Amino acid sequence: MIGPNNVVLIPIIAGILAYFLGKIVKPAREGLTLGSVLAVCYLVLKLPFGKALSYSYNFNLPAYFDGLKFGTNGLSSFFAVIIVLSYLFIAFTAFALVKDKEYHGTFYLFFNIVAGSLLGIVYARDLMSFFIFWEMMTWSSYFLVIMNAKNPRKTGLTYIVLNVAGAYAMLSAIFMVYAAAGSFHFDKINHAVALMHNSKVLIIAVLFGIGFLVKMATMPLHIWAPDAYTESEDSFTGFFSGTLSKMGVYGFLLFFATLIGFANLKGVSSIKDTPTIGYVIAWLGVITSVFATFRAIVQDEVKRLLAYSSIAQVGYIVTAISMGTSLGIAGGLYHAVMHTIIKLLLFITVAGVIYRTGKERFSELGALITRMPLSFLAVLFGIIGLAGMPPFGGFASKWVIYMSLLKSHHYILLVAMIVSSTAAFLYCYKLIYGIFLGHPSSPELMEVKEVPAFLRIAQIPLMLALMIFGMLPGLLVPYIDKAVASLGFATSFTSTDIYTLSAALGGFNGFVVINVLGVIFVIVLIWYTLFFPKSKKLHRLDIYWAAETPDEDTPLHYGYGIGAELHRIPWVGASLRRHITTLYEKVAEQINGIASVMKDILFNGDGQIYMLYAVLTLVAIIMFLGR
Amino acid sequence: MSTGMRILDLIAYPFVAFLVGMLYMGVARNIVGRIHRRWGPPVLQNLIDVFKLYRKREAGSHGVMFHLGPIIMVTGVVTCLYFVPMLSGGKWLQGVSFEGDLILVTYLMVLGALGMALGVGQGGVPFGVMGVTRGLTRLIGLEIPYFIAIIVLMAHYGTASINKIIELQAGGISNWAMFKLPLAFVASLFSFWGMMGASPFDIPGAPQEVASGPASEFGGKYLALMMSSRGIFGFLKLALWVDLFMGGAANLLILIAKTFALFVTVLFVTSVYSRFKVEQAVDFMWRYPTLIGLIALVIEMVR
Repeated sequence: MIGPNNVVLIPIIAGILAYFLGKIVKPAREGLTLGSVLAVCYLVLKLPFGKALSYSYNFNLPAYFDGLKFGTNGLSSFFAVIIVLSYLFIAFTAFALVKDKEYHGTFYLFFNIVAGSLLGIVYARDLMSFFIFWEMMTWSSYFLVIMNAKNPRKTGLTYIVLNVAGAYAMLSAIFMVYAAAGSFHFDKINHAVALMHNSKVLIIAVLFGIGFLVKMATMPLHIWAPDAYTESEDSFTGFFSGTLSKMGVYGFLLFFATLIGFANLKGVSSIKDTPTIGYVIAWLGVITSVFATFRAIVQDEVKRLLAYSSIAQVGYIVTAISMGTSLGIAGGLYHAVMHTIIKLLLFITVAGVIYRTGKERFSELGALITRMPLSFLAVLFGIIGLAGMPPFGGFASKWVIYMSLLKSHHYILLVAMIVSSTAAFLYCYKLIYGIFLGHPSSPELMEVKEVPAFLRIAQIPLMLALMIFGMLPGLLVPYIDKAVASLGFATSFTSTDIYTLSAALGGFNGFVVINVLGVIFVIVLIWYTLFFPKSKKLHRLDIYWAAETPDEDTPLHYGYGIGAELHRIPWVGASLRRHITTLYEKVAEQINGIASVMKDILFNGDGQIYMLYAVLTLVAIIMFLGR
Repeated sequence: MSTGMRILDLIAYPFVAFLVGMLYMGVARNIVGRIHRRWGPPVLQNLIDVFKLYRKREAGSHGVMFHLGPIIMVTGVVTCLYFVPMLSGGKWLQGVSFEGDLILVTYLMVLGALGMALGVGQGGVPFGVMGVTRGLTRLIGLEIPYFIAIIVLMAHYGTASINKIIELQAGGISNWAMFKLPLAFVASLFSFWGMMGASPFDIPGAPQEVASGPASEFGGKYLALMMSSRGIFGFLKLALWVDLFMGGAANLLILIAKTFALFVTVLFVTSVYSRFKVEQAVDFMWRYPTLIGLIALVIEMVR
């Protein structure tokens, strides 16, 4: 039977085959990718959702190593579905955008391997296979980052150094766990952790936390993300920001909720019934979203704006899940789904716009609404979701997060989250205005075509999904409940039908909201279009411009400057002028200085001193071994 | 209540808000006029203006989104209105408020502005976009004291439903949230003045700076629709504050009395203060009102 264990191998094998077969017949790469996408979609969606299954490979290994284990449960199924569907949409995007690039072969090789490794991560049932696939994800995505980067050395280096550092933090924690539990198997870990000393539990939690917070690009470990998201291959960025970042969420939930256990962490120390470490991470998440949002607003590069927005949105998820309550985790999972859909939609559309126009900055774009109406609509849906406005799905997920914070009495956290959530309106407006509204920055923009057909195939279902989840906010609830149940929590939603979503303090009926909106819109539209004289069509330069007559060369595309005001708001301006990398650079400088002083003292070229070191080392070894 | 009456009630809902809202604007011009030692225009002037604009034979359009902008604006505002109960207790003028909660209403309040912003964007006047940007930047300031206030409210009453919050305030003036949670009310009042576009915060549409901002390119039927939705929106916010802090209203007369009392505070602020710069507005909002709100929040947390 083809279970979760074999599903993992399909994209990896397809990727390797695609690379070599494609050297003979080029379209084989697309064909194999499509085949692999469809196969994993079918197999993953066919698996019973939320049922716990388990498989084991032993490879005739020594007895102390109990083999690689794979399996699935509610949480794994939840993330596996996210992965395979985004794999599908991104594959379609790639078919249109990567076909003429010189890195055609390597793209499909690494893209498929990334997809396979993500499935490996969610289906892994022991720490070793989890870590193997985690590393595989990091390395294969590294090549997709530097493939098309403008500044591959800096971008790639920051990406790999931080991610590898995160992975090694994780590896040390894994060995600490192994030392206590005597096994890598997930089932045996929780019990062992419960018996551990408090300080050890804390160290393990911090080390794992570092690994996952790097992936979720939480401050201060986020510095790889803006560059990597901006410069990675356009068609891959959606997968990168939408899906790869969710692996941090998955890992965090897996380790903090089941393997270490929020209860064990609470035992160490707790604030308001939340583990202290969870509370600290929740604040990190909120701080991340506030600062990333402000930084997103002032960007001129389209993808960089979206990159910072991703960091901010994942910050909400971090806050929600680190509270360790049932509703918080539900809100985090809900927002993970919505954020994946929104970021796929936006990055796919932006990739199409960049492909068609060759321009990557707001100051070079503008007025594309008439040339790309469908993409305009896609971005409109995307920003409504991103801003968390009704009637689309983004509202439902934010609502759950707010409710979870209210329910667990973390009011100040909620206030801080509101700052970021309100400021997000600005970058949302900048995104749609800078690309689609206003005036064209150059005449050739008025000749571009709509995004390629493959992208439209990806855009439409994503838009529909946003709308459906907004209309029927309860649709996801059973799946979220199953995922939350596999972490050992009871459901916290009080609504039972698909039209409403209610929990804790309130509830709303998404179906009524969207219908009221729709009915009023249609009534006003009909009244307006039929009962009033037709409007006179104006040329774009026939505008109110202080009694002057602008001409074709007048720079009227003002909107890319949205956010200039922020620099003048005292506290925000101060935060925008500073950057965490400056701090890191200063620390690095100091360490360099100290190291060079140490070098001068210790390695001064005197043979007698070196002899002394050798003797001292020998003495130390004898002392320790002798005990 | 029969289905027919229920439908009639729902249809009447936005029109009541529109009429009262527009009349308030007319009254406001009179009161401000008196403060300035002059006679204001007739009370009906704003209504007359809107009807005149609806009768205009022509209007210029810059494209589909420009055309849809004002329509989305009025859609957003009216939808939001339906989720804010005007009257409590009885059957009348409740809209569909029992299907949503305070957070939904808060977010719906921004939806109209988004539609407007899209229309302005296609209009292509840089002044308009400047106005929108100023408005959205101002919002970062305004929302914080407001959210703190409603968080205090939701925490205090243990519910996010507006109808339940009204119910829990029943039983005399001393039970009103504005007296039970005075600091939260004061904090929210600053946001309220800002949201009403009262003078220190009338940054987006500043006539002398950005040529009336978002409205600058719209004329005729478009301007009429925008003015109507502004009237409805004004009354919506009044009704929301009455629901949240002043115990709601059992009938239309009480509603008008309470909303008018609240409205007068806006007028007194607006006629004596001059306009902030946008960064000053945000900075102001993040200082005193937020501080007041946070004190209220801390009191609520330790209580």
